[in-house]
Amino acid sequence: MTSFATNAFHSHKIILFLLSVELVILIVLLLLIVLERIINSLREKNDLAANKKILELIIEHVEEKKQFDPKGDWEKIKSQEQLLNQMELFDKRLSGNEWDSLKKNIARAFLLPYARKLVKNHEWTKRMLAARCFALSPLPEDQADMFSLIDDPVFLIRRTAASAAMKLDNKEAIIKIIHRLSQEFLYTRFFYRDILLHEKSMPILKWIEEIASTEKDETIHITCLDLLADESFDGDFPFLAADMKSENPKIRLAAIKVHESNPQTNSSQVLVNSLQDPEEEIRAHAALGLQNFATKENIKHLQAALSDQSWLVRSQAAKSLKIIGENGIEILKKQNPELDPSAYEAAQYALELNW
Amino acid sequence: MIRDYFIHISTWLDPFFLWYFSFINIAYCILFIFGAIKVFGRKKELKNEDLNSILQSDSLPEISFLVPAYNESQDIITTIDNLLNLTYRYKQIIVINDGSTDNTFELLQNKYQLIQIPNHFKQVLPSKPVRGIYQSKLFQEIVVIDKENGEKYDALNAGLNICNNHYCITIDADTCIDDKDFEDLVIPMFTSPKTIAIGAGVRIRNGCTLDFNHISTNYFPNNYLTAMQAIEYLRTFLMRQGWNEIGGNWVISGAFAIFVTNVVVQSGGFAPTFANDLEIVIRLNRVMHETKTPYKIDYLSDPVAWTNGPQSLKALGNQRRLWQRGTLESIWFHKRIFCNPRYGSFGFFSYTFLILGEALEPLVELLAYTYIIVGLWLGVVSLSYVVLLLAIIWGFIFIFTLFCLLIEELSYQKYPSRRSLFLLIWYSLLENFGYRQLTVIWRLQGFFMFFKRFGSIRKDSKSINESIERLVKKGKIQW
Repeated sequence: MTSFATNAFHSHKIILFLLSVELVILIVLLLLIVLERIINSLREKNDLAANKKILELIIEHVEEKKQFDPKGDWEKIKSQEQLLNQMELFDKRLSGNEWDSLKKNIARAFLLPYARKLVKNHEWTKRMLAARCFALSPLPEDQADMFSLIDDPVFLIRRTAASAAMKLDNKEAIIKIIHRLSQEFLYTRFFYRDILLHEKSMPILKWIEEIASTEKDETIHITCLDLLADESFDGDFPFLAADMKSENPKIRLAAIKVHESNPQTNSSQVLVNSLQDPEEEIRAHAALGLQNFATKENIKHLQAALSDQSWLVRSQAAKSLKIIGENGIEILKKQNPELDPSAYEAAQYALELNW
Repeated sequence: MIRDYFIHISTWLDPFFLWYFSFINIAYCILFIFGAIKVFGRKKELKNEDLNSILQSDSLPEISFLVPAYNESQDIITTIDNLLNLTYRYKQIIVINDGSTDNTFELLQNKYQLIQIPNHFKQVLPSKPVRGIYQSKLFQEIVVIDKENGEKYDALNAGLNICNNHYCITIDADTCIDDKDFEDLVIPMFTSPKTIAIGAGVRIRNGCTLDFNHISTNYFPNNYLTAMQAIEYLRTFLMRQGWNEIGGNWVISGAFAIFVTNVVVQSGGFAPTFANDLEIVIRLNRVMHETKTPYKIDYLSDPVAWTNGPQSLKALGNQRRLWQRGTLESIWFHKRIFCNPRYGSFGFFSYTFLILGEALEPLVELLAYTYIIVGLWLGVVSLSYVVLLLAIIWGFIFIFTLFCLLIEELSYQKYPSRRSLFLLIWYSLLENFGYRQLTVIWRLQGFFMFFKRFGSIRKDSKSINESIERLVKKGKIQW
């Protein structure tokens, strides 16, 4: 005698059906895995052939300085995406007038018309393609499209569009990027900073300086200060005086960093004053910045900072003294463990590590 | 008499087993579908990430790697060198020597020329006494904490105490990172404002080689146990992709996990359990829900970390027992989440499945095997019922593994050699005969271990819950 439920499942048909289904799925899966490998290798071959064709065409035009004719072999290229991929690869390796002119021609003939169609596409990968096309060789008339992509919900598109807008080389684009940068989450900003600072272009830095001096929004102002602090260039920033008096410690910190990398006429005194700031991070940056102003007087201030209540400040002061050289090292060596154990500790730390 | 009693209970048990395992299989199917969608979505993203610009960047933030090490003299240097040689330049490597009794610390000291530095770090999280903090003279990104032995959670807390960076990555001392795949993580890591933790794919490293910081799997798998673990990892990590989409994950593998340092510290750091990776993720989910802080815990499919799996049955058994014990401990600590709508889909789906589909599964499976054997012996259970049940339990798992391999083939293709693929398929067929039953036994032993130390678990639970209550009173978590 068997149980009620077991009897209910006695039907061999159900079991046979289930096992057959499992067997079919298993066979299909195994076939799919094998098929995928075959398709993949075929696709790779096809892609290689198409890429080779594009590659030959580009080399032919660059090396033999052949006239670009959009109605020749170029028209036979079926995939704009593949063309874009190859162009991007070449763009990383080639430079010069021939390449620039060919790039512009190809972009105008094939890539930019394609990009314009994709700007509003609902699929983000397509919009990304549009941004990449613009980034390869942008035209001023596409500025509005680029700006709309800078506000795209997908970060990858925003960043690529920002990189495209940078190539327009105008102040409007810089303002747009700085505004976008200021709205971004803390760590996402790094990618825009790189775009803005990558070329180390003087006109761009001057524009940033102009925006910093006129911008009332604190976040955007801090963004500009942060960018200015990253590069050293010859500039006088009168707005820093007001920034150093700001009640917002973030502004003071950003301003002190600008003093560190872009010495102003009063930087030495500002840094010395900042050694008394209530914020330890600002005091540490002041100690760090004073290594660039190694006067006898400033060395004394750094020596005093060795006794600061914060370890961060003490270690930065010690580090600066070591970097200053002979005079600073002498002070570090003179520290007495019995008179001031914390200053001695910081000095030893600096002396032992290879800065 | 026994037979009659058995017949009586079988009217309940017969359908129970069929429904229970069918329910799990349906859940796996749903997770699989969502997981596959996530994997392919991520592949699209990867195609569009411009890594060159990232690697050339001069302004990216520093990331801290926390490497707890207890008697890791065999692997520690390889692991640290692997981290040092990552193309991502801005990093701090914090090795926590957790009172090793072998020469782990001496190896570190000699190889990296460590010098003691002042300990001015605030001890926000409790940990066993720190004997000294050292920095490398050769590579200043290396910091070594030498402390008295605690457990892994204690070492991680000591590491968190000195970690100043926004992001920290916990990594096991026997785990290596594939450089290329790590680069791929940089954009998702830095561009998700609400994300407080990120997990990534972990694979089995045994039988693989590390060539210029890139993992090669040409000679993988090297034996039966490696293959079994690799198959398990493939399935588990695909499912986590699925959980990521529907209810939120309850675990991020401790072998490689990215956290926002401040959030983990504010939540009380790692808890005293072997499954501290599981516990911290449940706690973060709970704290964020209770404080009504918007957050996201993400699980990326990128196979970034490759970890050494146990190479003997004894070591594997020990690992599985401790995992099970740790899972039960974590469930006990946060039992109030169970089926609680206050915790959203996490409480309702993920946590419920964790208990019913994961933690209790070995018990039900053992009961099913026992039922079948006794039933067949008494002549109560028919052979066709047994076939049906095994088709549901074993047949499905084989199909599911093949699906995972197919997804792998269509996405990352980490096992490109035909040999690897063939062996993985072959071993997945064998998995149900012996290995599966062994894991059930080990996990059941985990239950015994859990009840054995139930007294101290209750104490830990009380202190964890009290600390969460204190935290919740402070309001939203800031980071």
